[in-house]
Amino acid sequence: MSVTPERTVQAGTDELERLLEGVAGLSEVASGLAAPASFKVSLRTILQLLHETFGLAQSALFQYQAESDRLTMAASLGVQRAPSLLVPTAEALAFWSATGIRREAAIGGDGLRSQRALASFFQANETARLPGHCWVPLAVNGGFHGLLMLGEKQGGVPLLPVDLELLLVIARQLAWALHHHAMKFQLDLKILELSRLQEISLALHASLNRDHIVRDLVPQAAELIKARRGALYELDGEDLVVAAAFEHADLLGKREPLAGHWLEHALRGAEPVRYASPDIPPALGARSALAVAISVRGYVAGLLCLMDKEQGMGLTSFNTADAELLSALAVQAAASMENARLYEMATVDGLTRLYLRRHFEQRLAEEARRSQRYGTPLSLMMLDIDHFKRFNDTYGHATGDDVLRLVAQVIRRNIREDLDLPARYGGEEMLVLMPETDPEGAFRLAERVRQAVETASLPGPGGVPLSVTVSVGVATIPTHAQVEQALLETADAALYESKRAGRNRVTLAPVPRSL
Amino acid sequence: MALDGGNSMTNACPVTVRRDDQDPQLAVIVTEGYINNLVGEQVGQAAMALLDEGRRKLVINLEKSTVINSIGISILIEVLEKTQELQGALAFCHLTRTIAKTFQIMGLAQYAQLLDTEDEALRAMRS
Repeated sequence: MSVTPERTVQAGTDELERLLEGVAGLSEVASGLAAPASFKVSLRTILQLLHETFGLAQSALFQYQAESDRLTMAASLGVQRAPSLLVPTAEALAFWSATGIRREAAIGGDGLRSQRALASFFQANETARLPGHCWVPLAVNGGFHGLLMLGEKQGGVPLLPVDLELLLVIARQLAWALHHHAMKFQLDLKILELSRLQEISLALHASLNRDHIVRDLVPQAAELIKARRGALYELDGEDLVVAAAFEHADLLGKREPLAGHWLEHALRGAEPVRYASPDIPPALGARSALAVAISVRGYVAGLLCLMDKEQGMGLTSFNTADAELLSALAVQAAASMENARLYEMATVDGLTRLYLRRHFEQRLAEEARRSQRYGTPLSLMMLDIDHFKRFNDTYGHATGDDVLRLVAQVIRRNIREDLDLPARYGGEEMLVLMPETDPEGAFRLAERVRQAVETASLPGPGGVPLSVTVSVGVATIPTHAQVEQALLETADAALYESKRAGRNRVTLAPVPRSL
Repeated sequence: MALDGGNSMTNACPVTVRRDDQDPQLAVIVTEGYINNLVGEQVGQAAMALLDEGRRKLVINLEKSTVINSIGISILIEVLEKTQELQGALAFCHLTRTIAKTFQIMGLAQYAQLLDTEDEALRAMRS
């Protein structure tokens, strides 16, 4: 059959119409890419249209995720068992970002394999099953956002130059869509960072418990700054002691002299200090560190140190922005720790670390009101150290203080943290307020404390173990009393009964007939 | 005085997988400790392996994970997208208040179910 000029013109017109239809369809899809909910669907649809327009047999689209530094499969057509993700190497990323969407950059076949910048990428990834006729880096605005991989046309026909030109136009639209998607993700991350920073600040300012502030600060800072681990050091005399550790439990409680310590410079300075591996002790196994002193009005409360900044699937160095963020966090932490310290001084007995009587009475009144309002039980145990005067008279006041500290420590260890309220009521008398605890529960807890004191070992002068016991009285609102003063008196009477019955025992107050 | 906030450096198994005996489509991934790039990658690999073997309903139990950084979140989003692509379903359970809020901000809560307990998550997946 001969080819007439009319047929040639008709064929050209058909081809043009095919391409125009393709462009029109792709343009519509490109506008749909702006809708985040349908983003992945739109990517798949655009690949489908590419196949129909150019008669492609295979294609794959990988999206670059900057946060995890990976190329994840966004869509593929005609590819059997394509990998879900690829790991871009630094050389490949630099190459694709620099080349952008140009005809020279859209390479395939042997050209890909001979490209030196991509050698490490091929080594790191299994690409045998991926389309390799033409790879188009989706890079715009100086950033790389994905990779479009195309196979030959059906029947093994290579892409024509006119196909390639049109493909590059479409690739630019795809790249901008991926860029906007990435920007949206980065914006969400920034909102998250600010939200977390606000939450951390509120939590720091709301807490008057120094132990909680110290415990929570390191994981919060590590999470915010993407550090792999961290520690909070406190200055104790001439030593640095690890008061809290995150993902570095082996450090907890470690004591080292401050003089010559690798963190000494950060502790003495006002600005955060960044460290690289030669300056970090090898035992810590860290490649980078960022440390900042936590200080208020010249008083150094501690030092916060983060180690190993994460980037993608690997590690990098801490940067200036990290230092600024940590510095801001340290300022807030310092103020909170100082507030907690002042609060503690005003409410806690220096010898026993139990609450002072005045603070206890305030809390007792609050809890009694709460108990009456909600109809929940409120129990009280009153303890007295048996024959305490003998310890003072026989071994001296220093030993008497040791006995008080021991009993207080046993109480703190056995009660419910953040719920029960332990206090030193005066002399050798101590109290524990137990909200939402019925008489049976209170009695069990009191008995546990009594047994723990009895079995605790306290070496006296000359190494002879001292035998320490306590007598305890327990009473509950509303079972034994209706108001706080009556609760105190009833618990005191029960304590007296324990003493009268031979000491080293717990007495639950009897239920009065009038109630 | 202070407590360690998570796993030690030597924690060998921060991610475990439980395949449901009754439902061949269902599996639970349990994480432990800080979900950063290391643990996140293990969660991602465990999820991809389960999806590859045909399990399309995944529950990620975060009871023992209270801290997650943005790389960990990014990987969980990848798992969610892959699950959606395969017409599967993903649920999270035992989220702390902070992690639940993080998931809300990052859009994970829009496409994955957030449930209080593993039992609730399993019931939701079986129904």
